[in-house]
Amino acid sequence: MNKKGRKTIPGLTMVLALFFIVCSGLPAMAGPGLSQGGGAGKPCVIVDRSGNRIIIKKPFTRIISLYGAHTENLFSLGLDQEVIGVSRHEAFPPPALTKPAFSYHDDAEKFLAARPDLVLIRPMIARGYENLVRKLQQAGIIVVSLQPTTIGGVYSYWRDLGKLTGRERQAEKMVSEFKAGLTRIHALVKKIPPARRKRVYFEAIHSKMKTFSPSSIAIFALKTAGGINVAGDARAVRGTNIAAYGKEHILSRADEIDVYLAQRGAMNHINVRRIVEEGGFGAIKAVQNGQVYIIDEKIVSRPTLRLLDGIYEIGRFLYPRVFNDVSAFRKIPRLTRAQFSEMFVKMTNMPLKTPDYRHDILRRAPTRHKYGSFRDVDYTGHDYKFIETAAYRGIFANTSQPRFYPHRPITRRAVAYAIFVYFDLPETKPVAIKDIPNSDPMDEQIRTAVGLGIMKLNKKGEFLPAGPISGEELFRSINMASRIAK
Amino acid sequence: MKKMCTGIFVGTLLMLFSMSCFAMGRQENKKAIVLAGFGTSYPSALVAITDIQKQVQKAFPGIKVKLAFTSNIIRNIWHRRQSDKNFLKEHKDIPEEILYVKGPLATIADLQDEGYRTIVVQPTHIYNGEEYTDLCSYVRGLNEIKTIKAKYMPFVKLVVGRPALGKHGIVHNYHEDMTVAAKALHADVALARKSGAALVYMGHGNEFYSTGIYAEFQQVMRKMYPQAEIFVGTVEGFPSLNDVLLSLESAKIKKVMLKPLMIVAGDHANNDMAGNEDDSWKSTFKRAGIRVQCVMHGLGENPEWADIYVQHIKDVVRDNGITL
Repeated sequence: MNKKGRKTIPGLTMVLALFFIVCSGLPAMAGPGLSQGGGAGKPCVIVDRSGNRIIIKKPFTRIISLYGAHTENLFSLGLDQEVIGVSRHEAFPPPALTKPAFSYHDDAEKFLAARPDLVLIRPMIARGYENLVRKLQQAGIIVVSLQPTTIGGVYSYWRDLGKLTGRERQAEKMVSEFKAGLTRIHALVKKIPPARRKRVYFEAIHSKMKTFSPSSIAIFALKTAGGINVAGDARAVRGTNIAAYGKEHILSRADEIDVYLAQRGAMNHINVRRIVEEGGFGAIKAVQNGQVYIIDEKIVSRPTLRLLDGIYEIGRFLYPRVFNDVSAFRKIPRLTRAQFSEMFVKMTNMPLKTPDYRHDILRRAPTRHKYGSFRDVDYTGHDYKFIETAAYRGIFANTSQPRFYPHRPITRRAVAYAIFVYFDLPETKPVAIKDIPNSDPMDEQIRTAVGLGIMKLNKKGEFLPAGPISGEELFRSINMASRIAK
Repeated sequence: MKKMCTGIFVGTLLMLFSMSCFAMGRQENKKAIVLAGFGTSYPSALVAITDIQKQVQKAFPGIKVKLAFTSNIIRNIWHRRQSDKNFLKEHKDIPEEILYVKGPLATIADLQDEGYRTIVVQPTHIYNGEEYTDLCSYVRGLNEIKTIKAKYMPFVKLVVGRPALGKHGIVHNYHEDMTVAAKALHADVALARKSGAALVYMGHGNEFYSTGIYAEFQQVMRKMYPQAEIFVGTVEGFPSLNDVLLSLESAKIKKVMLKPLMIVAGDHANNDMAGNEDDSWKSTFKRAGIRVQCVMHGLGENPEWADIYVQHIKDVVRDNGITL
């Protein structure tokens, strides 16, 4: 099933080859058994990035993934049970944390002991760890190397994963879900006149002054969010997503760069201060105007559904008024905790929290909330990213609880707490509040919000800490807190 | 003829002797000071280190004072900047020495190569922890070198000063070191009091050494400034952030001035102390209803703190019979 040929059979040749193989009734070169994948009862064929042709007669059911994007996509395809191992840094989606960790540094024996029928890798592993790949193949394990480098390739890649696992329908659903997300983003970007579109330099590796190749997924994300790539002339390094650019080249465009965006991840440990203090970068318009932003590489460089989050986040950096529009929330008479999270995150333009790596999450103190651990939050839905962002920013008390109660109304007490934590507010004169005794654990937070006029008492002089809050009231409170904190 | 032969013989011997001396080289004995610390890659934070260097240089005029950074990553960042024209143009004030900064071993070796055989290594460390122990181990290793001939020993004297809060032993009483350190921080205490805030220091600490000295230092500070509320904690070890929080809550503190008890206000100060995530010191205190004012200056910027290192150099020099 896993042919050793290193050349990919392109286009017509491949189709003819497949036709011949299927029609001639040749036995599958490898495969778990009779066809269940492919839907129509006939074997599917995919060609991976190593040029191997894989004939799938039956979906693979014991899968080890050595790349975070594969893992995330397998879970998106609903393969929670079929994934039996993940690479050692993975933490998303949350169930990935419960899977045993594997590494391409491990001995083949460790993999064999887990009895996988499929090990998913990517070209970097195929190139650098040939011995491991060979040993696994010799033991009869199918090793498939996949990683798209363009957005067109992303759809094919999801479909290939669907074929490998018998989840073609779910793969199509992923494609349509992603396209629907793009449509929603297009609608927002449409509101921005072409003359107001921001010109962006997108940093891939700071120390080497590298950007992304124009056809990369990251640049697709940038353009979809309405940004203009100033490094459109960058050339890809060895067919990868990365492109050499150089400091002189960046600085030659210093006046054009409205926004300096940098991915942060394993290959780029970066922060705003380092960019701002980089020699010569003081000449860059974005640096002068405080328009330097960092974004997690996991949501801009990886071919997963969360690429939509990355696009959205870039949009918030570039056009906060459009992407952080909360006008719909202002009409809500009683905000839920999920709605409050989204409104607060948007109004303060708080950067979205993305899951840390596995070891960072596990290292957090037991009393701290860990990304993905709210049992009542849907981590495939819309709200989770705002809830987790708010939780990690510390604006909710007691997030160490296993439940978040996203649909419960947010209380006025919780709002006062959030405002106190987020904004650096001055001290106030003592305020008499009928229903808040000095012994109240949130006495300071509530008195500050009331004393500064950020939140109002009713006519009876009561705060009503357990009461709800409307979208309009929260809108006014956050705006006022923001003005006072400045 | 006999006289001529004797003359040739003596001349040949002298020549051979002088050749031998030339081959081994005449050893000089110049004196130098090496200030060793973790380092920083941020040009804006560098002042905390260069200020200490300037003060030490002022105290020992005519003696070479070199910096050494123990962090490999930080040294590499500076080395990359050597050929970065834009960086050099924008940061003309950065000393060339920083661009070529080396680790303690290489710095000592270079100095020895240049004829500096009496070297005082003064750490800019806060206390006797992991980094200080490692530094002492380096120096101990070098002092183990024994040449066949005593005159070719690489060092006449290679010694290490003690960290700011002192070290174990009976020669220099660490309690006195802590008293001196506490005195050096009077401006912080005054500033916190002026703001009506308790003073909270965040030290580095570590997880596999006792860091009880931070708790002890807190007590020394409290005794020296009884009118102020003072708390000392560590990022790693004891007293932890949680310990400090419990103390603040128990003392019903509503406002704190938060400052790093570190030489440089670098990544720890920006992230662990003043960061935005829920587990930073600032967020943790604010979540408990405590207002927080962060002071982003390293101890190296305090000239009185830098003086501690000057004094420790004087002490180690005197203890070892060195004249600088």
